[in-house]
Amino acid sequence: MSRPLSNELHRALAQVRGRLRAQRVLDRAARALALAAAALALFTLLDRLYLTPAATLSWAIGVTAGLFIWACARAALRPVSNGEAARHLDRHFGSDDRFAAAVDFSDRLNPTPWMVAAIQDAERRLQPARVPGVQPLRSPRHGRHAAWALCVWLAITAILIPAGELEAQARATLEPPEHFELGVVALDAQAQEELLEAAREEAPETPKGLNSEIQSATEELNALIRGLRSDTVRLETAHQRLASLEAKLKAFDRENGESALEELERAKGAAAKRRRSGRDVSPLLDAIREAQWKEAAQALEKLAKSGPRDKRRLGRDLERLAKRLESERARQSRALKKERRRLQQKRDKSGSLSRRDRRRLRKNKRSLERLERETARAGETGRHLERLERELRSAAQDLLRRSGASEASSEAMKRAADLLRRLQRGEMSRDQMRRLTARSEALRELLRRAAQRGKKGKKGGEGDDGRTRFMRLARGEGGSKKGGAQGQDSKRGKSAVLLGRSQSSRVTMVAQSASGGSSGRDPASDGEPSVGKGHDPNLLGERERTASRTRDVNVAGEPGEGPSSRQVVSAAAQRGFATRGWKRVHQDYRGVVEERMERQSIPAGHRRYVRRYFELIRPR
Amino acid sequence: MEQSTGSQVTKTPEEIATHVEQFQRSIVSLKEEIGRVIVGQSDVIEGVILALLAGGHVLLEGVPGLGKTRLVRTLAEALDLEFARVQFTPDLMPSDITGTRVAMQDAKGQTVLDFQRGPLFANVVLADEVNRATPRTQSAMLEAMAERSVTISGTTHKLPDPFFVLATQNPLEMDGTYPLPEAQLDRFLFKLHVSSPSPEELHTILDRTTGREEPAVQRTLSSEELLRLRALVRDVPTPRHVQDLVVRLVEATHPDRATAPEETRRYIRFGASPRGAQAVLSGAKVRAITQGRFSVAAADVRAVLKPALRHRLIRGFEGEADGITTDAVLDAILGKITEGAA
Repeated sequence: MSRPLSNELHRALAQVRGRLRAQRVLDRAARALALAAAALALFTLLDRLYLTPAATLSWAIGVTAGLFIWACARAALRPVSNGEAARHLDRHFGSDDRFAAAVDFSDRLNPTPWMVAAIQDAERRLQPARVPGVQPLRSPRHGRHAAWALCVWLAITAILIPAGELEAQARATLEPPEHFELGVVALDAQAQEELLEAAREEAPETPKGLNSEIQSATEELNALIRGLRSDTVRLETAHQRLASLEAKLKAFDRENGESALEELERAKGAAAKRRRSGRDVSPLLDAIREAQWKEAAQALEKLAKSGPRDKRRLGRDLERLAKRLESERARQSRALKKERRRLQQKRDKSGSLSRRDRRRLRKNKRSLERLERETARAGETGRHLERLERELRSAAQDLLRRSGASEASSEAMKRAADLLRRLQRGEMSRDQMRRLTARSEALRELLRRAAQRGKKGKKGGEGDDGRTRFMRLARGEGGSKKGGAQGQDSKRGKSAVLLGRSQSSRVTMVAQSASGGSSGRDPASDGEPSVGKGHDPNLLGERERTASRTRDVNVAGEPGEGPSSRQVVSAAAQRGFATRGWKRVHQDYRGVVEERMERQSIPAGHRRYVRRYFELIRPR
Repeated sequence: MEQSTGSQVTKTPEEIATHVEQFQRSIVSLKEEIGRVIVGQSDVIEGVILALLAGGHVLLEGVPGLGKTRLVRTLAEALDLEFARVQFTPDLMPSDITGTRVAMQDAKGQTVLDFQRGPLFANVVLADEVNRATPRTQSAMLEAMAERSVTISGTTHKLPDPFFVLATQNPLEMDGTYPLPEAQLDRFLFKLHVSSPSPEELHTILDRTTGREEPAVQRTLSSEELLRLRALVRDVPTPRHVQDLVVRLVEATHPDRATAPEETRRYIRFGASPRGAQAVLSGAKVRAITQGRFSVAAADVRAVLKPALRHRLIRGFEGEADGITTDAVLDAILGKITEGAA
């Protein structure tokens, strides 16, 4: 017959057990967290250095998370014995194992009177009010380690961002806005001049034989400029048409830009490998090498028309050129296939479900799609080159077989010449595309600047700052606010914006007020002297137009309309300016001054002043 | 629920509580009486009382003049026990301490051999400089200590109860001595180091001993009361975790055990015997009652570990060469073996 413990002692033991279990969970969680964070830091570092496969980090995160949960669950589910709780009670009450002994004796069958006395002694010593303080929750044993490991992991994650993500972030940040803000603008004389200059780049310079898309884009741009000049195009419509035009040009650039250049480089490379060739084919190869497709076509036509001097030699040369073209194409095709295979393998391997893997998969997919597009895009120019190769080979075989010019070889050479002309037209189209892109950007920039100038005018009308008021007073106009009415009207009329011609024959953006309000007035439009209005628009000369395919992007920030504060710091004016740099240079300066004073004839009394000065400012 | 405790029957926990209180009071008064004569040396006094109540013997080690003999004499006076002192010398024979049969004339004028009891037949025996006697004499005395009886000429003579031996030895003068073998050292329950008094204690000693009056000791316990207290000690229960601690501590003194600390492995050749574990637990039980507890605590075990085991550990060559004491090894064991950490 065992002697059970009292209810109070039971309750106290249960409380302590609960706290011990909670503390154990905390400790284990902290330790597991420290280990997990350390492992993840290592794996993240390896991942950032590309020393592990793509899915490794995801696996590591999953495994460490699982281990962490397992450790916490194990600590929570493992029971705490009464004996352990009793020992904590003993420690807290300073009762020298009385509670532990009582728990031990209470479990025994037939306890002796001494054991019962020991149990009663323990029960007497229990102070229920002090039990909550027996095992207060403390910070986890490995909490500091866990914090350090977490910091290290986060630092590694934050510092070592993959270059691809950085590039994507930078692109997202620097991407130019799609739409310009529309407002009440006025195209002043400068804008008009620029518009006229843009119009001068119209049809007379437009070459013939362009690609149909480029031809239509050229016409669209010219029509847009004409519309702007004749005030028949809304600004909003102008922006939309400009955006549509740029989209077309971008599409053309994607389809016929870089890949076509690569194809042509291939042709030039094949021609450049020529070592010993006959005089007949030399002009053709030179023209191809120089990318003079028109001249190449002419040379080939000439050959087809007049016939070669040495037919076998010409046949061999043409066949060699065809072979080189083919081998170049095969090499490029191999490279593309290899890249494609690599990306596909990467995609197959990274079949994880983690966010990071999905991101990488998407990136790979995009790369693959880009590759496929480029392969398909090799289309037009590549097809021309393939056909050129076939025609050259056909002509060469015919020449070699018959040892003399025949109709077939002449026809083949003519067809090859035709293909070279097509190549030339393609290149012309690309040149025109670049010109059109530059012109559309210039037009957009012109509209943007005009809109900014218009905004400034509006702000000047709304608010009468000190400088404007001063200028008006200087001109003897008194304190009347001319721009005030305009500002109010412009506030009312914001629904639509039209391009119209003002009385002073200027292109002016007119606000069409919903209530039919009056138009805003620009002080400069009254013919008043505009002191400080601006600078010479041609101060920097003509804008440089480089024949490159790069595109300048201007991202300009504008001040917000929120509250701002200003503070004058007068400490520097009162105490003088101080910098830290003088501490470093003081000794050097002093040495130089001493040296100078030794060399030059300076009165001794004056030297003293100099020395005293340096002594006074000596860093202490 | 009754429990026999030898000389009496303990019936209820309340009675046990009363006995424990009386026990405490007796011990406190005994310490006070001894403290009248002996200045300081509280650890030694405590150890001697614990060994006395646990029914064991004590080996006191210290240089001459520290009050060992006086302590024993004072203890005997306070307990109202018969006291005998034997100064061990190399020419001391076993019969000199156990007693011998001598020829005597009886009332009828006939010569008979009568047994003359030696000094061992006392309640408290002080074996002064026990290491100076020959092994033969030492073994005779140690046998008497273990068996609590003396056999002479085929006749066994039981020693008085309580029988308590306090042996002293001088650790400095080793010339002409016969160090006690380890097997015989094992018979002592405790080995206590008697250290030099502090300057304050020395002042008090001088004040007390160089004057005209000497402090008188009152009798506090009779032999019967002492036996009753001894019987009470035996009934003190030991919780499982405390007994487990004793076992683990004793196990840790053996260099070939997995739980042994590095110090044990390096410096100890043989660890404590089961008699050592018994000594630890016996001493711990007495200490538990003196602290007013009804069961043995881990603190009791830790307190008596060194006196109970320091003479039971046999140092190896490296330990002796490096001058490592068994106390240092036991400290290392106490540092490593903690309660509840199996």
